[in-house]
Amino acid sequence: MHFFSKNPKILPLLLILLFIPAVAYGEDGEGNHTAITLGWISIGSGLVANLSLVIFNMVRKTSILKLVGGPEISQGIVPIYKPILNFHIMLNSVGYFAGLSHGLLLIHELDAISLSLVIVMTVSMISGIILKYASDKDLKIFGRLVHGQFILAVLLITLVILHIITHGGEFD
Amino acid sequence: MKILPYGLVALVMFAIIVPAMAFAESENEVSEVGNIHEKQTTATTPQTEQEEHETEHSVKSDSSGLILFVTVAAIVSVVVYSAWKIYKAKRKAIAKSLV
Repeated sequence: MHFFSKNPKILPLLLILLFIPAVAYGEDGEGNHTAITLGWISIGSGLVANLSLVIFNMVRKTSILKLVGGPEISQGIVPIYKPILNFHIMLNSVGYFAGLSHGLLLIHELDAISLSLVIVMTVSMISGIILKYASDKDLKIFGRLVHGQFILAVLLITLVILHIITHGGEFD
Repeated sequence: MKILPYGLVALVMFAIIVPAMAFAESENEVSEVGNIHEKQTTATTPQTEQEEHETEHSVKSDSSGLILFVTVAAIVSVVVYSAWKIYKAKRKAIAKSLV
């Protein structure tokens, strides 16, 4: 850890190195099957991670809880926010890296839709990291604005559906 | 010792380049085999069928290019919009502090 804190540029290079064998592994038949599974893991974890946070925010914002159980219940769910946020971050990270491995394994199948998906996922991930770790106030607001854009979510869902439609039948 | 990080970087670069080169070579082999197969099929298939295939391929690549363009345009607009919003808020705060 001391080494990485002194040489921050080494860490991304080592991460790249970690993913390189995946490309070679993806060449054989069994690797192809693993790559497809990784793609589905990525979609599944992304779905669970984002739906849990969206549902939690919807419940927190709606007045149903206030009407049924009074302000105690709505105040009672506030401490759950942090674990749910951590769950969202953790599962999305797993999904992102699973998707990245899936992409590297099947790099020979790369098309414009897959590339667009990679771009959108990376932008969401970077804005999320900025939102979580940036200490500068303006940068944090920038991360919040980019990460919470509705158009990004719509684009991501559309591209995932298009990716499944265009590549789903190829590996059966 | 300064040599360790540089050595590590060189090692990492080497480890990245070698599999990439091997991968590129296998890609070339695949494309060569594909070209031979294509030549064989063009000799047997009628011209109209080939033309139809070419038009279908160009339409597909056009729509893919459009998707990529829309994605990049959407991301650029999101980033610019966010930056502009922050700049506007900051300018407003500065103007308020001056008054």
